[in-house]
Amino acid sequence: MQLSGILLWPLLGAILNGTFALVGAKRKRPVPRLWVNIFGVGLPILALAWSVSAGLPFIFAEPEPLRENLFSWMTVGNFRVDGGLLLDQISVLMILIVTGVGSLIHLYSTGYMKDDPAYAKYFAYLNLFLTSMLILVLGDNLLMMFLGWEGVGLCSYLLIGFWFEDPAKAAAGKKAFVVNRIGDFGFLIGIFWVISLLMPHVGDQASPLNFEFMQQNAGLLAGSATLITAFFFIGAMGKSAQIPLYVWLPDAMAGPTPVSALIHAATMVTAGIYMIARLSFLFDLAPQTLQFVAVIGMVTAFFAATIALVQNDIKKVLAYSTVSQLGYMFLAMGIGSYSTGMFHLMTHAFFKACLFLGAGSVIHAMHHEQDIRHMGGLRRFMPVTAWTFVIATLAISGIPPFAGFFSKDEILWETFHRGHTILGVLGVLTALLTSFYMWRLTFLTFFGKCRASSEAQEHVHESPFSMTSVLILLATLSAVGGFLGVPHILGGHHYLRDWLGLGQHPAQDAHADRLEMMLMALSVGGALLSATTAYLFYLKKPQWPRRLAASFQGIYRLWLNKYYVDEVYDATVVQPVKRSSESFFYGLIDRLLIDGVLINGSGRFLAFMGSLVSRLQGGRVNAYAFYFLLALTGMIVWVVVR
Amino acid sequence: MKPDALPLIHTFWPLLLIGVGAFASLITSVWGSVRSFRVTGLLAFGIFLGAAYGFATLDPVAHSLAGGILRADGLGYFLSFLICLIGAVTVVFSFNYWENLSEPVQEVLPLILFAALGMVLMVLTTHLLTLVLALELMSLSLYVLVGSRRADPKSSEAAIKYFLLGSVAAAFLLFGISFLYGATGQMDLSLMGQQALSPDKALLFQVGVLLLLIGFAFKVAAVPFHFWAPDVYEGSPAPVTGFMAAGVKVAAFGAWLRLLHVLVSWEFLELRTLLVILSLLTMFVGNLAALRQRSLKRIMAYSSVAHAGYLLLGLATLVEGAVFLEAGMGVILFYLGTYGLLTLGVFAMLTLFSSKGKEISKLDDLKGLGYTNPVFAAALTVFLISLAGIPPTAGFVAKYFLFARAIETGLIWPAILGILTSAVSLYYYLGPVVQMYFHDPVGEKSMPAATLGMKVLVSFLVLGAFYLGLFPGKYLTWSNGIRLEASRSTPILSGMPQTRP
Amino acid sequence: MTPQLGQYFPLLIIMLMALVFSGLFIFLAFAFGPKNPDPNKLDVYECGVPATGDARHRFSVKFFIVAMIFLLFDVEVVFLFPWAILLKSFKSQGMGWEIFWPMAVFLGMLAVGLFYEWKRGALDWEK
Repeated sequence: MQLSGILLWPLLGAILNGTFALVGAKRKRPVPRLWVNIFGVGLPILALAWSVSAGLPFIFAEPEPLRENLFSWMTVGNFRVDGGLLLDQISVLMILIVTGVGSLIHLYSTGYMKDDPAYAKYFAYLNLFLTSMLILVLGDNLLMMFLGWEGVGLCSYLLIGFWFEDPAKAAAGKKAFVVNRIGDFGFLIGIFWVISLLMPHVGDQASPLNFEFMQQNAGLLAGSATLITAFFFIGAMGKSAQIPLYVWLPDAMAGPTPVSALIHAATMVTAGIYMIARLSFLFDLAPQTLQFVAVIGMVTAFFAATIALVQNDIKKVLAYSTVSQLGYMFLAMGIGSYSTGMFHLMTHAFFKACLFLGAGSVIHAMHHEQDIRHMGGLRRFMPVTAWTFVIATLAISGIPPFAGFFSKDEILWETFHRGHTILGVLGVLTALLTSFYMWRLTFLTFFGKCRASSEAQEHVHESPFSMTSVLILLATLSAVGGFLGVPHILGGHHYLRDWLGLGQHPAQDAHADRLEMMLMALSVGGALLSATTAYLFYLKKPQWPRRLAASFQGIYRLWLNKYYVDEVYDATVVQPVKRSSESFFYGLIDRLLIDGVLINGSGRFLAFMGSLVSRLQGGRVNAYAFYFLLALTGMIVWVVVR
Repeated sequence: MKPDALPLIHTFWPLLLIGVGAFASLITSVWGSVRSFRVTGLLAFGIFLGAAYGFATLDPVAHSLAGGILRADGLGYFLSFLICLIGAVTVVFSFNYWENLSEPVQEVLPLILFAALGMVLMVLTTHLLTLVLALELMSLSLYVLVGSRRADPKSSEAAIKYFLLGSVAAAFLLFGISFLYGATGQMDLSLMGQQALSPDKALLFQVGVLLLLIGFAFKVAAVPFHFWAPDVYEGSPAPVTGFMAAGVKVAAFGAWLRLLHVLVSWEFLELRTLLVILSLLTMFVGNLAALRQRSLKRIMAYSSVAHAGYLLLGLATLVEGAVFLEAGMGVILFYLGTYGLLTLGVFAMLTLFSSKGKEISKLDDLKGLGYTNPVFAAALTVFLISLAGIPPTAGFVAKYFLFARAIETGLIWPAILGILTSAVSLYYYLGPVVQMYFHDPVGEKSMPAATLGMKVLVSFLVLGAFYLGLFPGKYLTWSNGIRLEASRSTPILSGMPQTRP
Repeated sequence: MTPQLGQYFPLLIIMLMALVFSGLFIFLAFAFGPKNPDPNKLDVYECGVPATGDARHRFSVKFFIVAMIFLLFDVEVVFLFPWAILLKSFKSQGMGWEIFWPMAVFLGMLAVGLFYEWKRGALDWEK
């Protein structure tokens, strides 16, 4: 109950709020918000409390992993899967992030969604998301993980399309769902592969998908580890928005902003990272896959950062920033430094949630205006939002001592130290870009002159306490979260890394220290430089960027239009699929072959057979009795003649 | 006291409970008032639940009383348990169906108890004479139940047809038993199994077996002995049809299992071939004939025929040479339980639709129900798609295990054909769903009020359909643990036996 | 004749005698009785129902009920004869109760049946 409680509380919340939503719809009068608040926010907070109480022993001691069996899922012959939960260091970190950030965002939503007519429905979805995410990180086997994986995907779809009256938003939800299916397909193939390899070796009670069982028998998987992990990584590409499957995440910003913060920044999109960390024993056996993961991660990070440079939608910038930061995490995973990836996952959860919620606060205040060209100088109207946003920007751009500095620096250092120089250089470059686009965003939104219409300016107001308090808390976490992994040269200690105990880490020697020092100087210096450039560009000399854009027309348009990836996909994948569906699959196969021959043909054939059979059913008892006799005679003849 | 009396009470008290209860209900129902109907209903419900509890907790000792007239073993207890649950459900149906009539048909409840007594007796005996007696007790009660809507000529027609054909089948059965007795000199199956058969009696014996099997084939509505089913299902009141469809199938397949267990030792009977042929015929005719039906009850009749076909295929998997594969019974028992649950579910809906003595089962009557009565329509949809074998419902799991078992035991082609017919079945199971959701409601039809018990029951059945579909493990392990010998069985409720297939 | 069937020889004689005597008396009545035929007398005797006419004629279901009740109780009473005969010998072997109780249960069931019929008015001709 200690573990299951964590995910049962939000589930209860989802059920209750779902009921409220239904009752409200039936009575044409929504259930009072207070009720929804009590259960929709109270239960996640309860889950947080349970997570803390379950996690504390892990933080202060090193107990055995906690296991709990919720139910026996299926037993087919030797194949057995349980609905089991497992709590160890990795999942402790994850549940604390999920329930912690999750509760905060629930709280924030009470302010943000206050006037939405579908208030209860929103909280039902959000609670359900929390449940699924907790299943994902607590499941003790691949199938439970997949259950959570699909669950969060479903909730993501529901929440992106939450305002489904707008066709564009509904389409964004659909896009997210479809793109994710491609990834899920890879994940499933990986699962099947594992089953097929491990099935012959399971004993009476073991499940081939159980993580601990897999780890003990990792040797059996070694032969195919490269391909298996590659398929798992395809799953991660979809869920964690990596090239080439990242396209859904920017569109996913159609959902309410707290959803973007929770699902599409802090938790769900990090599921791929978590998966690799959880299966690190398997990825360790597949160096080629790891290499691939690192390259994809780094390329995505750089690529997304360039797009973020020129976007004008406040949420789009943050979305591409998320894609970019996820790329960093995959880079860390790919070079085999799993705990560093998890560290960045955590700090990113704090500052990106803070940024998104800050953006939400702005959007809320500006009545759903999202274009930063129409903002500026907002810090006068909403100081709390502005300053928390600045703190989070400091964190993401890697300025010490804020959280992002430590985690990003650790990634860069490990990359160089393990000899991936090209990736490292790209990493540093991306860090500079990150700093630039984030400061651009901050300056354009909160500083300088206000470019909104005077009418709009009158309505701008600071958000209610329920929202600002969350911002303050998250800003605090973004400020101090990095101290869990202060490098040795700064007199600190990698608490998180030692505690997680994942993978191998290079030794700390004089050469490494020098390298690390140099990198720190480089990245901090670079970040400051970028920030200064942004300051000049967007506050002091606003004509510069315009001139720059004019002289580099080509690359500017390319970035502004996101490298035309959506268009390329549309032309190479979507349209061909559509056309071939229409002409070939629909016209020929579906209409003619399936509908014409198989469906209607077989239907007619079966109906004909049916009419033959029912002709015997004349309703006359004596005929029936005669058939009896006939059958009996036939049988006896068969017996005698044979 | 007789020396047998103590074990009789010990091992068969639930059976006695049903018997005593049947007579008691006869007395309580005699006043003919609404109140006496209620009292009788509560009594019957309690008796069924008590007996079900008894059968679930009793230790299956594999003990025979009075030369096999009564036998206590895992199989008998498990099936009796199912029958008692089916009986309890039927009582709830009857409440909803008859209670709101000004003059309830009083005999219904005692007759249900008597029929259940027959069914339970049928699965708790290895003696052919008791078997016939039990079968007749069940059948006679059912004939009357079928005709209990006296005002409706259809009901009377159904009763007469059922009675006439049932008598023919019973005649076959008795004739067959006399042949078997003539060939072996034994009436008790367990003794018959130890009997050496002289070669000159082989033909006599074989014909006897055929006649016997025909008798039961009639009861489970196997083709070509199924002709009564559609007419009778259509004519009888919905609760009775549900009871008949679920209960008789359980009891008759219980008897099939016992017969097979003994008869396999005579390999020349080629029971496997016989069962496969019968099963294929049944699957095909049942599923094909259902396609053209426009009445949900007739669809359910053919569905019952089709499922009998699948179950017969399951029986065929048990015969391997001269060996009875006892371990394979679990699959059949699971299927029986699932089929009973789902069929009762559909008839629960039909009962709800047709209160106040008016039977409604035409597909056209279901039009637009998805909008006027969303909850009931959803429940009916669940039961129907589950019967069609769509995951994640119980029907899928049951079919999956059954066909998997068939393939394991080498019946690959019959299994493939079975799966094909099962695909065909989707058409007629979805027919009512289409009517409910893709047509506008016709006229102002108000659903008669459902009793609280009925609502609770339907919720349970829906949950059960999903529960067994999602988490079949525990129940499959139970049913897989059912044996005809004592040493390998434990009471149903005492937890999971360790044996696995 | 096999010895087994020989045991039943007296039975055969009884049957023959029954045949002979009944045939004899019918013949005697036929030979010596006065004959004044009229349509009603020539008609087959049947209680309460005209003997000729449409076979699908409706008549009161009460006849069936009475017939059925008679049949049931009559047949069931037949069980009492062998029981009564055996009771003594069982009792002399000290097993009197063992044969007493089953019959008591059986009669109890009969009594319930009788009670039911009575109460439901099956015994009232006019209801």
